Formats: sequence, C-alpha cells, structure tokens
Amino acid sequence: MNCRRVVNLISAYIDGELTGAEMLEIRRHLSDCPECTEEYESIRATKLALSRLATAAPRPDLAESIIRTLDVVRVPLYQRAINSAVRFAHSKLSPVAAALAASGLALVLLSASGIDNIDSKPVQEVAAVPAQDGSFVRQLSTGSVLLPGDSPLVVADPHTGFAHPDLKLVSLNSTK
Amino acid sequence: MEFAEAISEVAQNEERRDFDALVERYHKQAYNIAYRMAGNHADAEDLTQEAFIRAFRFFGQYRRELPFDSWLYKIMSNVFIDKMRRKPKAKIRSLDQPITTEDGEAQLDIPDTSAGPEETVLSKEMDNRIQAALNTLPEAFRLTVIYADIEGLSYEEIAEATNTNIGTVRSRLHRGRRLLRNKLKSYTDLMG
Repeated sequence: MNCRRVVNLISAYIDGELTGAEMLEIRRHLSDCPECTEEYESIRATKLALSRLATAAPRPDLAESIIRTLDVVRVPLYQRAINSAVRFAHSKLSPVAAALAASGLALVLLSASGIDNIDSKPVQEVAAVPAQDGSFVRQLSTGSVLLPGDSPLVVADPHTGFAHPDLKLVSLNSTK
Repeated sequence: MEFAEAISEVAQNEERRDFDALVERYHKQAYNIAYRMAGNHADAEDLTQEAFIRAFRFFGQYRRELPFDSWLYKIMSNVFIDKMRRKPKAKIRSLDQPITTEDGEAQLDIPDTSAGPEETVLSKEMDNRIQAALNTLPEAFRLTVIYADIEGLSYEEIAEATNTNIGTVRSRLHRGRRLLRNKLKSYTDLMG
C-alpha cells in the first residue's frame, strides 16, 4: 500500500472501520513510514480533542418549552393517515415496497382530501430526491399532481421507506 | 362514530404522552449536538425545538423497535441542512487569515470569557477554538465529524443519520478531520 492510499484511509483506520487485512497493511506501513505516522498522530489528536469537548447544556426549562410548543402543533389528518399507513406497511412489506405504498397513498390522500390551498399542476415527471448512489423513486411519469400550498408534497425515502417532507421534488416539468 | 372518535383521542393522548417523555429524555443530548452544529446557543435552541416539532409530526412513522435518538439525528440533520440553506451565505474564512480593515490588516481574535484556574481557562479556550474551527467546515463535513467524534456513532449510523452511504461518510470524515487539523495545528503545536 502506498503513502497516498494510507493517508486516505487513515481516519477509517483510527476508527477501526476497515477490514482486518487493510488494518494490518496500514499498521505495517506506519511502522516504516515517519510521514504517514505523523499524519496518523495529528488526525488522532484532532479526533481526541473533539471527543473531549465539554457538553453544551441547554437552559433548564427547554424541555418544558418544547412540550408547551407541541400543544399548538396540529398534525393534519392526511399526515396522520400517512403515518399510520407507513407504520403498517413497515410491519408487512419490504422497505422499498413500503416506500412506494406510502407515496401512492400520499398522492391519493392529497388529491382526495379536499385540503384547502392546493395548487394542481399537470406534470410530465415527478421524482423524489435522489440518493447518493443516484437511485431515486419515481412517483409519477405523466398526469397531474396536487401540491398543498402550505406544505411540500410528501414523497418517500427509497432507503428507509419513510414518507418525509424533507425529500423534495427534483423535477416538475409542466406539460403546458 | 362517537366511540371511534373517543378511541382515536385516547390513542392520540397516549402518543403525546410517549412523545413528551422522549423530549424530556433526549433534549439535552439533542441540544449538545445542535450547539456543535450551529455554534451558538440561540440557533442551537431553535434547531432542537424545530427537530422535536418535526419529529412530533412524523411520530406516527417512528418504528418503536429502533432507537429514538437515531431517528432524531436523521431529522436534526435535515433541519440543520434546511436552516443553513435558508440562511444568507456567510463568508467562510480561515482562523489564521488576516482581516482587512480601514486601518490595515488585523488578526481574528476569538474572545475568551472564561475565568478561574489555569486549566479551566486553557480548556475553555481550546473549546472555543475547536468550535470556531468546526463552524468553518462545510455543513456535510461538520455533521459527519460531530456524529463521529462527539457522538461516537459508527459509519453505518452516520450514513443513516445523514441519508448517505458509508463510502461518502468515510470521505467526508477524512476531509473534515484534515481541514480541522490544519486549522487547529498552530494552536495545538503551541499547546505542546
């Protein structure tokens, strides 16, 4: 293993997140290479300094304040239905199937529930946020999608199956 | 119909009680991470509060057999990234980079308000320096470093919390720690 490769793997080596063979190779390399050993020591010291940071404490009544705020948070009916469906789907289906089922339900509920302030748009393609590996869940190829005005369209995470508002639409091509 | 509504209300009340208990149990842990992400108490409080509100909205989807903190980390990461995207872009500068003023160039001086025994002063100063250095990291690197080195999560757990894969976690951690090391190097050399 050359120095460049060792330096690239040094953090994972420190964390013990390599295979046994890689760990041994790096250990062997470090015993012969002062430059890489210096890199190893400095990264290890950085990790150690971070782990020793003091714990930041909140004000004493923060939990109480959050709980008070929750009293005025309303979970819309359609969201409760989606939540229940996702939970049910997780117990019965694979994560990907659960995600697809939840997304389908979300679209049906949004289009059928008569939620106020909805903007209806004809679309060619709607896709959920892509994962790092480039994969994504395609929600709809052609047709129309209903977008509630005060909250994003609920789409599902292809990895976890969660229907989640943080997953944004990445394309919304109007047919007209 | 009334009976069904009553059952639904009982279920909702029970869910709310469960959630309140989780707020009580996890808010300190969440706040500590939020503080390290945000770099100041006001934003840390906002971040913690918003994460719990979002978690509450989606609590019905939370799978009870999984640890709540892992689920909360995932939500916190999303809230943090959303907040950072909405925030006006702050100019990132090196701690060692001189600031140009009307009177010429000046060095950035990180204030230290601590007092007391020498060790406490040094520890507080180190804490401030590390936090200032963390604040300059790109958000994805900062999150990864915080989860790995402050929370002690495994690469797999970090990948789950930040919605990415283990290879990306490894790369972000490597680059994040090196950036931090470079920013802190002169200071740690000074400290011996």
